[in-house]
Amino acid sequence: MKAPVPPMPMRAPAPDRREGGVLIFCLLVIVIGAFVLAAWTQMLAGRIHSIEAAALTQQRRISLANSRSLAEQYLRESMALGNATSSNATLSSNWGRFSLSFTATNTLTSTNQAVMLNPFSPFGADGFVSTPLVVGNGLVVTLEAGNATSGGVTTNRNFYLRSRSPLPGGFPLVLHTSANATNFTGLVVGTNSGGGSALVFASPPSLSLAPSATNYVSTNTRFVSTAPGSSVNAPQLPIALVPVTSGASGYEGRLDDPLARSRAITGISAAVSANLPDALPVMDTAVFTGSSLSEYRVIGPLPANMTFSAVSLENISTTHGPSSMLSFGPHPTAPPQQTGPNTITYNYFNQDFKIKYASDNVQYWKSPGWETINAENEILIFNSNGTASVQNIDTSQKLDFNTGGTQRAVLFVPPAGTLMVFTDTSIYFGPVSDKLEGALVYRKSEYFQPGGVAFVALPGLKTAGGIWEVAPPPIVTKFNPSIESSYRCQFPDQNISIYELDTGQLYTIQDNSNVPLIEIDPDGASPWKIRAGANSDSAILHHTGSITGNATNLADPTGYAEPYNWNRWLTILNSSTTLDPGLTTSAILFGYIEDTAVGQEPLALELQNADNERNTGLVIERSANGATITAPAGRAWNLSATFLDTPVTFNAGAGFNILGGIRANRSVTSPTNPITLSPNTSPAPLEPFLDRVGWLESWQQ
Amino acid sequence: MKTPPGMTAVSRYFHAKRCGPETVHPPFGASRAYSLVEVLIGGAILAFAVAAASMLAAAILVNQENDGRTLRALNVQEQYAKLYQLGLDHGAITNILPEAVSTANPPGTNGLFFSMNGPGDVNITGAGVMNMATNTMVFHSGSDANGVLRYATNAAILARPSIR
Repeated sequence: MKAPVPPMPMRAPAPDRREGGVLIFCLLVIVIGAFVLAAWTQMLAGRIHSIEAAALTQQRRISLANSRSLAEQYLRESMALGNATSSNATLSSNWGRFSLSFTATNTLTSTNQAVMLNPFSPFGADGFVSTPLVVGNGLVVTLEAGNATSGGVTTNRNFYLRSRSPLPGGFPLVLHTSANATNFTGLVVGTNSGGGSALVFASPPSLSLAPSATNYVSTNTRFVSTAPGSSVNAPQLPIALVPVTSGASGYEGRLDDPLARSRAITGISAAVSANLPDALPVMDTAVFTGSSLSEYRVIGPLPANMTFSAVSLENISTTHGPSSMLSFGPHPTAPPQQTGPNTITYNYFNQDFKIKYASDNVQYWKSPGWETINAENEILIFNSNGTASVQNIDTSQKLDFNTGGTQRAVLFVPPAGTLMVFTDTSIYFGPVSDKLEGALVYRKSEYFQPGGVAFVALPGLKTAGGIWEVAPPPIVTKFNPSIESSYRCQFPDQNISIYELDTGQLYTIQDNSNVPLIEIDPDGASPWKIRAGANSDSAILHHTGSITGNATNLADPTGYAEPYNWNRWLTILNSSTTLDPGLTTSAILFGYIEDTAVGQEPLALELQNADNERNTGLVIERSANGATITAPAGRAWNLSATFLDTPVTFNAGAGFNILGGIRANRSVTSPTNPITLSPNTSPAPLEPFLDRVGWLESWQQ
Repeated sequence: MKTPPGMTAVSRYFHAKRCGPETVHPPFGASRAYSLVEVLIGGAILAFAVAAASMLAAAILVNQENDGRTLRALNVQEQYAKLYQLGLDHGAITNILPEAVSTANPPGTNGLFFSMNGPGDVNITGAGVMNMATNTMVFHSGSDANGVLRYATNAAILARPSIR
């Protein structure tokens, strides 16, 4: 048996300092952990606040953009009119709010600004130098976005205007958008055919109109749907300049008075034509070397072969003088079209040259430089294939281009083969198709074909809104002498337009005071009714129609040279044509009555007034070709004062057609009584399209 | 077996386990295991900590989602503002925006709804006429504890020149 092991003597354990080390170690771990936890929590808090910071920055960005918008508006509107005032504007209520203070500044100073810097360019770091105009005092914008603690942020900003004129703009190519004001004296500022060009048109005669900011049209109007800016007939805001003829370049002036000599900075002299107080001279860049300029003023003759070309005719404007000849054509591949010594041709209208026939914001089918379009002017439309066409003209817009009542335009004597396609939807011509081109042709009077050409419907295409083709021109030698006599239409202050009898698309002829010379369908009841306008003494309704008789039997009631080209006259398919009262002076029927069934009794034609007095001066004869009416020799068919009181009925009888026209003379004292041509309820079939053709012209004896 | 001199307590412990039946002492003087109660208490504390961390992580995730929705909405609204200032109208803007814009209000899960009051011309004295509108955006900003969608609304006044 093993002896028991004596117990070990018990000793009190000595204090172990290692346990204290563990405690310290644990505390260290806890401290580190606490730091980590605090950092993590702080990070989470930061993440939460980040969204607030993002929201605040967004607020301020919107506020800044709003303030820029207001500053831009201020520059364009107030400064352009020269009525800038010191003021404060505050836009408040929610996000986007800001306040902006601006100091009245109307004078701009040019300053050089290097643009298009490219440090990596092998040609150096500098681009070209632009010369913007500086708003001197700057604008102070206070962005109020933020919460109660952050408050607003104030920033001072200078705004620069980059001139669209080449000199202060400093750009090699400056093209202006065409303006469309009627009283706009447009100008062409020189160019060269080598690629650079600058086309600037000047301020309109009335500075209160053109440089106004409300008349400004900027390029981003293409973003909006239709309106060319916020104002009708808005020309481009030209930051015009006084051309520098000596001294250093630069500009100091006002937008509302850009051509004032006193505004030119010291050391620069400028020559501004006294004839063009509100217009820019035409400058030819070809002599733009050194510090000298040559000027070509629009008023007065230009060199015969002077050609202004541009790399793009997107924005172009010119003027039209009595003997000027400006041609525009694509550069450099195709020469400009010169249609004659007195011709101005615009080619290559493109997307920015909208031609609109809407009731509002009417843009004219003419260049701003065309103050009026004269009677001899032709408006032609060409497409890229060389065929003339007009597309997408809403019939409701009426071809007189006169929707607004104050515009003037002439659609006159288009060439044979011109197609006009009418639709009911689009109101634009030009931007609709990139193949469209347009032309304005000023033509001398020897080619003038007065009233002789209308659009006729092509056979087989007589649907509503169908295609129309230019009718063949009249025999000028026979037609002109008579038509061009007297005071015919008083062009260029009157309009002449086409109307369509079938559909009632009738268009007025207006004089220069916008008073219709002939009122079509005055009571809105029937397109067959016409009457003279308040400012005219007479009206003539001419219709093209088939004449089967011998026109030489007809006497000329007003001294027309014989023979007539009766194929130009009207076929009125009425069995009963009524002349309403309203002819205070006279009414004349010329033409003859056709008996469609040869062998019948002679037509009884009665012209009878209220007193049952018959005109016995007319001789009605019947021939193999129908009945003819012969006026008494030596006088016109003047039925003066016979239709004052009651309607007079032409009793043509069944089976007869009245062929010819009616001219009614009336005085201005009775403007409300129309001449009524009652349509036949069952017209006889006609030759193709002849029943749809007509034209109007005013007349004064 | 003698313990080599100069050994630390830890090395003596492992030396003893390897080399012989010399009295072995655990390092640092700990000579007994944890009791069951200690283990249970420790486990409970750890469980609470894990649970808290999990809940916090979940909350963080939800918060991140909500922040993302808000940032996205603000971004789209800013783009809306920019497009307006370019001259576009409400219809064109909503068609252009990269985010699908709901026509319903409220727009639904992750949806955006925009409306425009205006635009109208407002005369700013001394500055001119501004074309101004108020854009109101309604967007899905989050969900409550019951999963019901919550929406936030943000309105911004937008201005652009009437001449543009």
